[in-house]
Amino acid sequence: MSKGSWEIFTAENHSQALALLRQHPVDVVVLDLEMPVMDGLQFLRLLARTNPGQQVVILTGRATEENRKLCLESGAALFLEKLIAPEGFAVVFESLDMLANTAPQEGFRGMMRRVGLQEVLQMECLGRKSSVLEIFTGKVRGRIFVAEGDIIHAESGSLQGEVALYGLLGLRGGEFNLRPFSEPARRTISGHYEFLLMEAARLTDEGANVLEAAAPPPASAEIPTGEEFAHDLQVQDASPAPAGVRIEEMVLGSGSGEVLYDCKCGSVESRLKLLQRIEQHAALLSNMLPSGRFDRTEIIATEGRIICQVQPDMRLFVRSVTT
Amino acid sequence: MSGAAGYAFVRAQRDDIKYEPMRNACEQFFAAQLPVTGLAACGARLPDGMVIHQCFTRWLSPQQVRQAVAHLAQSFELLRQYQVESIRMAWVFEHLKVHMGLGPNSTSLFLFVENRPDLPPGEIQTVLEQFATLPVE
Repeated sequence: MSKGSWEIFTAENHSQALALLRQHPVDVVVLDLEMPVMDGLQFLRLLARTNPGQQVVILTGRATEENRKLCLESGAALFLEKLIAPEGFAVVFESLDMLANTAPQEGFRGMMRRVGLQEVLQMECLGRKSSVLEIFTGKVRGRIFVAEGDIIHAESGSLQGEVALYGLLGLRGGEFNLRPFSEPARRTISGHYEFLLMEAARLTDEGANVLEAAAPPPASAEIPTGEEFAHDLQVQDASPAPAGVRIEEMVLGSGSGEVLYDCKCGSVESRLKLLQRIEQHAALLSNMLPSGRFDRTEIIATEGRIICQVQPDMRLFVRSVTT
Repeated sequence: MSGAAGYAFVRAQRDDIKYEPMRNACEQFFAAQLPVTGLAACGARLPDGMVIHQCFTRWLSPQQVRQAVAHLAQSFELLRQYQVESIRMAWVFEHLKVHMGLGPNSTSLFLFVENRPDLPPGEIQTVLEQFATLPVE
């Protein structure tokens, strides 16, 4: 039917299919629902994790409404019914041909357990990109806005700003979509992205997530579609953020001790000197213990929480207080 | 010289007596509260500089723990030099986190914990908080 325009590979089960996909990237995967060992729906969900972005079409003789719903929600691009008549196959072919020749949508989908949100955000910021990261779990929904490598806004329910950002980055599982940038109603975050991500990591380590704690029980176990999600965000109220974390002081230095950025810091020199001493102590400890590479110290002090991070090419001192 | 050495010895003897209840309290605390999930070793430094420690894994030797505690004990003082009055702190490495907390009479507690994302964070905080208010007879 394709008149030689398609190259077709066939597989009898999921392991053969995975092996084929590793050897031959394809435009479209066509799956039956009835497969040995792992059924088509299970394999569709597996492909969503192992081959994110892969276009998958379900072609089945069991075209029930429930199957259609499950498959489309699990990432299938099309759900087609097997038709016996030759003209039926022509319709199927046209649909597949159209899909194979359609450029993939902008943005991608992924599972947080495989690719951390922080990693995605870090890549966006390092690449100086602009995008909107939509996040949704059974209980929590939110968006993080990145403009030219800076995290400029985050929102989740009635929370906005850093509180929403930290809450979203602390989620333990769910889904995200990386979408093209659109300007938020207002910009609520202005800190350096490295600090923001580090603070989020610290709060996650401490196990306190304001979003999960405040989230109501899920109305249903289903994950909303992108459209439902976008609609819900539009109708959510935009009241100001409640209490959260406030940065009191921050110094970012290069690996050689040059000041790259400072904010509200009384004595930049003293802070850099402290970072240098911490680096020395950490080097000694690394020699004593099978600890691996040093990352940071986390300090609870009378004047707030302090993070001193030392990397080969940068040093960071941040003091924050809980408001 | 002999007088100086004798003085040091006597002082050490007095400190031993003075800090014996603290040492007992720490050992009882270790026995009652530890280990917690992911804990590789623990140590405490008494006000006289004596270090008591315990290992729960093979990949950390008692000597390593003793050396590390002696070194880490300077951390609070280091911070104080830079006008940071710390109550608790953690040194975070790729595979290991060392949590430190202050107890009564400037005794300090050191918890060497595997750096694994699946470990419950609350347990360590609870141990450090309990140590801060450790009763000493």
